[in-house]
Amino acid sequence: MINEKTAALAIEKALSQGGDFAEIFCENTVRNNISMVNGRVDSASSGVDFGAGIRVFDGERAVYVYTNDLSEKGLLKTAQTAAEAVKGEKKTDCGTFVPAGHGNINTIRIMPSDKAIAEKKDILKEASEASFAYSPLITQTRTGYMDSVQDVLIVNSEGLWAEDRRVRTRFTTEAVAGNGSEKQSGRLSPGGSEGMELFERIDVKELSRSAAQTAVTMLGAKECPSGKMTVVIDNGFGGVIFHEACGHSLEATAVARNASVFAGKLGERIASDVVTAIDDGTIANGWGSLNIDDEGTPARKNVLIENGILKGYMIDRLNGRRMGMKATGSSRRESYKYAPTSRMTNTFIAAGKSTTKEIIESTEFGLYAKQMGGGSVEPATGVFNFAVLEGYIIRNGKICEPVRGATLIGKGSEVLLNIDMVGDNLARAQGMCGSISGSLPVDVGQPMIRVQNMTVGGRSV
Amino acid sequence: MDIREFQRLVLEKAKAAGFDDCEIYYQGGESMQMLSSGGKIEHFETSSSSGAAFRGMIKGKTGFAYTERIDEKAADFIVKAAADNASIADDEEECEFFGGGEYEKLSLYNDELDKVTTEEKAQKLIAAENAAVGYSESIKSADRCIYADEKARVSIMNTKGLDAQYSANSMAAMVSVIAEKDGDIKTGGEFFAGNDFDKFDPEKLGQAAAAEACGMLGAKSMKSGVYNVIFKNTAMASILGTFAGSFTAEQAYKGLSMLEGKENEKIASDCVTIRDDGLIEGGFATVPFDGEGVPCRNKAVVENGVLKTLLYDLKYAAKTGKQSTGNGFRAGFKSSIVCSCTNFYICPSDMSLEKLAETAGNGIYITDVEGLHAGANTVSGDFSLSAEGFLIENGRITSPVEQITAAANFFVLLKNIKAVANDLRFGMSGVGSPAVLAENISISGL
Repeated sequence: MINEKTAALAIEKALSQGGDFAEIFCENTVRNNISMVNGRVDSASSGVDFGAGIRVFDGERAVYVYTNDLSEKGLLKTAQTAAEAVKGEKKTDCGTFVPAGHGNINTIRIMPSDKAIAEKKDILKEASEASFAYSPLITQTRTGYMDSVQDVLIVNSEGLWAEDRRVRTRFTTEAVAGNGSEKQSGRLSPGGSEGMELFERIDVKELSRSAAQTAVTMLGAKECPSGKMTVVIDNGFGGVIFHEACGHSLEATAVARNASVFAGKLGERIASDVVTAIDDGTIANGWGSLNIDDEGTPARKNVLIENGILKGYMIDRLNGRRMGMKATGSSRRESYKYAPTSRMTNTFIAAGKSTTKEIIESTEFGLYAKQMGGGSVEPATGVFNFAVLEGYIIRNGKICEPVRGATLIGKGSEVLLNIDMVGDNLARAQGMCGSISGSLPVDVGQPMIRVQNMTVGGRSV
Repeated sequence: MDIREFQRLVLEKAKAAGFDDCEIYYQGGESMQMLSSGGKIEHFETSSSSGAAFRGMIKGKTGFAYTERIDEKAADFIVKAAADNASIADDEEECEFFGGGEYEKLSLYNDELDKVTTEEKAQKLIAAENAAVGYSESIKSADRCIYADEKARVSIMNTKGLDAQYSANSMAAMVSVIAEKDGDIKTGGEFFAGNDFDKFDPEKLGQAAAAEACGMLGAKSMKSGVYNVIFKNTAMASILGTFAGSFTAEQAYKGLSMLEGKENEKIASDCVTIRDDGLIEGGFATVPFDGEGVPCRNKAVVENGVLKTLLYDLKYAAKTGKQSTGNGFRAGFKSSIVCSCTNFYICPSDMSLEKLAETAGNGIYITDVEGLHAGANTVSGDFSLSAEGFLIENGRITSPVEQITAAANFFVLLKNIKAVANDLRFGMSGVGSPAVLAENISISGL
């Protein structure tokens, strides 16, 4: 996207008025999206994202500037803007670039561009038909396809020259069930750092029937009771609880500012001893997997919590400086329009020993949250909330009637200590995580877990 | 490459490639943002970025594509990608293009804002941080203090003769704080937005954020039950914004709105009037024309509880035999046209918040709701949100409450609104509300 000479000149320019580190992130991303409503194409779009961001550090201070103009003139002008913001005495020069060798954990078999657009349309149509065929109560379907090919070049004043290509493909199926007076929906959205081989791995019809089943089940459901109760959260997307309640508070973005309940707690017990949690950016073809992060650091498997003890944080370069700790391959950004910061990749609670049968049978009364929706958290307090898309009452060790409208709220630090059973059926699911460096593909995951004494908000008192 | 030159080039290439009517929309701008921490500017960002989106009719079908590269190669790419995307369209429907019209003269660009130096911006931001931290010993830190401003330029051109432009600038400042007392941690935040730098009062901003956090210290949960609830203006604006999509003809047409087919029916209590006004002076969503070049205007969406009109863009107006209300917008140049609101607000009454609390008698004053993106079903209107606020006891707002959820259905809530206050305030998205008093809200706490 830019040549070595331009890169070196821009870094020199960025460091011309002070600062001890400069970095350029260049990106060219081609995206394709198709969305269908009721089996008919609602929109199809394509686009090119193109630009570069220049970042300068001066100690713990950072300056970030970006532009769409990658001509030498445009880039140097941008570097000049960065330098002016640093405003100091020149301290350092640009090192000699050394191409960084890194492996490829995300092998792509079929590039999205190798398949005709009509074939992608047919997949979505098939999915829609499967949802409608499931029940006459299905009033609407929304299906979607997306692919993106992001080419990045990351260079810095320490001589880093790293290039990577990130290919992602994702499928979405959503079904809405209605009975005249109310509407409920179910949604599944698998994807990965992979190409069209995604559709050999998943069964779009089965997924669409499953989404329809959730919608129909919830249509007949009663309002969820509210109050404190035992909550069993199922595997896969249930891992959003950990993502929200704990993951965000283990990002250096929160920890370095002392704005996290887990700051300063390394080596301490923060969860019950059945909890081990990991952020692993190296899972082959994982949705949140990376060869290198957006600062050029190779992705890693980071153990966050081991048997309840806090073992590590997710750290980017800048916050690493603030914390006196090394970067962990966790620095990410949505695009060149964002300065990178510490973010999650594929984050999950590791498998435990209980079977799902044991967990349900040993629960006298509680809520079984089979499908979770999204949620949010306030990192300073760890107070989170998230929605239960498909829930059931557990009574005397048995899963009973479905309930709707439930929200789980609580404090991450308390919930982690209140997990008393962890199942053996670890599964991951795909999501988009929004935070200060934009919206990013991440996996959440967990086996079935049981949490004691959780606050459930519902409309039935 | 000059942008209007690029726009004309794309239209020419599209014609040559077989497109009939088509349009090229450009949006570009510059922005800057700084964060202060501990009385110093810790983070500084500036950007200049732009992009253009093309849409057009080819063989009776519509295609779309965008680019951030502005050069001849990019012009070729978007024309070809749009033709490919058009090839899979199911609907052979006319894509509507507007031929141009008369636009309101709006003062969207304040030259004075461009003259403010980085130094002056930094000084005010740091003053806001200091005001927050100095407000009380309980304030541990002002963890997010941000100043941002931007300039934007929009230019839209189509083969029907539309050729319209505008430029606008704006600024915003935000402070959020963490308060701690006896192990109890609370957060608070406040913002200021507009395009008049002189009106930005940093002390007032910092103190308001700090006061919000300190006011919540010592909050307790409360007994679950069904209560009278006053939603604070900003909280109600957030809720209204979440369900604003239901007021669009697009969502109604797609069967995703409970308001489908309800025009001229009563959908809210008598005291509820909701307007959508794209022309409010100084409004966050004020623009002379929408993303299709249709002039914006001021209209009642709900008047005394009756749904007067949904919000229409050209496409859904054509499908339903109506006129566009100037509500076809793009979330950015990359997005296609979506029916959406401008400055959308519940009209205030002349009743003070105190008087509203007296009317409530006993209940809760909810000042903040969290989890709108997850805890709200935008189709059904059901919501269950983590909330905090204050008790209302014997007509007065008293002690703080936390760790509760407030659950209701938005469309039922509209009918259960008993009164609205006089304190209309807009959120940064352009959605506004005064405080409203509603009955029958389920609160889940202890």
